Amino acid sequence: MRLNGKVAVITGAASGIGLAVAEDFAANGAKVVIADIAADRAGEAAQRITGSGGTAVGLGVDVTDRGAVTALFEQAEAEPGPVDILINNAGISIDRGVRRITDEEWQRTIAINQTGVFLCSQAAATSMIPRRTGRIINVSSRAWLGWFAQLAYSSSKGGVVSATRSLAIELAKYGITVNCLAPGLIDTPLLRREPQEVMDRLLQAQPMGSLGAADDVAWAARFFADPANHSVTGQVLYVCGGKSLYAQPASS
Amino acid sequence: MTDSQLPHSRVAVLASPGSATATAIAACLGDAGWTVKTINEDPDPAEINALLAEHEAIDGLIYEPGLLDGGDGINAGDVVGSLLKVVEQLRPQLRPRADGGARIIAISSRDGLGWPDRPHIAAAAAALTAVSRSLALQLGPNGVTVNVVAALPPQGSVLRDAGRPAGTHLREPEPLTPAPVTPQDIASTSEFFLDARSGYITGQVLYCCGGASLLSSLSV
Repeated sequence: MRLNGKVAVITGAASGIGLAVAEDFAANGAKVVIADIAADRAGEAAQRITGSGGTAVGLGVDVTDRGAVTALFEQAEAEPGPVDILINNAGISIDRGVRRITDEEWQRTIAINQTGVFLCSQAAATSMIPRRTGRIINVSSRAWLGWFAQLAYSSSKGGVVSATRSLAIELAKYGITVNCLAPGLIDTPLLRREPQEVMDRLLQAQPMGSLGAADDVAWAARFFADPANHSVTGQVLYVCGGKSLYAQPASS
Repeated sequence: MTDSQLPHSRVAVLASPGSATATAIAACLGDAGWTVKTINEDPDPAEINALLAEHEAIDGLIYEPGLLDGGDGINAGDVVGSLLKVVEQLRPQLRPRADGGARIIAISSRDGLGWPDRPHIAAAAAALTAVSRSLALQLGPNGVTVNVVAALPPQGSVLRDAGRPAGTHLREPEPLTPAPVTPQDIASTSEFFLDARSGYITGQVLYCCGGASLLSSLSV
């Protein structure tokens, strides 16, 4: 599955899953736009990809800000070109139980995880519709099915699943597919900050008994981004080692 | 696992009564460098033993029971029974986790979401999903993934011309996307699940249907 010459905008791409997707896409011929709230780290990531022979630019964006999103797509369109692939990956997770989560934390989670998908998808679809082609890939989470202390996060990621399905239905006639990835436990810098005791508990809840890698998610993203893959749309693909099938609750 | 780390020699067993979809899967995998061994969807144990004697390890099993071509003789019990039998026989030689594990996929039908005049196919398709999810949990610790490609009957299937089911106002589901679903589309989706890099994806169903599954509550 090659993405030769395709322009891919990836939000939240300065680290973790977003960065893995950017590196994978660039290694397979795409021109990637690394968009991140941290403009400096986006630039550094783009430089590393360019240094390895890929094509990348790094741009700062706050996905909750319509003006910033509009500017991102205008800059991308100018260089490297009209957007063929959008990966809505930017997101945050605030793990708080129902009694402790604050209004501000709830609103911030919804703004970044859900409104960000709306604004970026609207900008991408507006550009893709006249060209009758495009790929939008939303990064939700296995946690949208529900998990302990993830009321805000799972609610926002459930919204991403619903958005995926509505966008897929609306955009299908234009040859634009919209799919969703729902990662489970993925070995990222954020996860590695958890104490060993927590990690052990999390792994015990895993049917395959292992962590996934960001590359596992990037590979699935490449499948959805493949220009030849025109018959798969509106799907939610769990990259979770089977955790979506059954996860033994180990804490409350 | 990166592209450069992929194993060079991969063996897939394709269990099917023979169909355009099975032919497309065999061709797609062949192009990708797989060695594909085709057997009947309900094979004689001797047939499997002969196959196992030829190969040290099996990397992939594709179970394609022919649901996408219809037929009155399809029976849910037979469809899942044959899958379980084939898996049981192949199990000792499925590539172990330490060597990258193995992949099993079942080719199912969008009919599993329900269709008025094909309840027997719907039952078989839904049963395939339930069995595959159970096998995924059972075989996951061994590094074996089990997934389902549930497709719209593709271009060329007799079901594409099935027309309006008697006594209903419904029409045969069509893709929302501009192009028809083809056996090659189903093969490409199958190849994705069979790939060594799909080792953290198990128990999943991908509908290869151009969005036709999205209007059912069971599809999420």
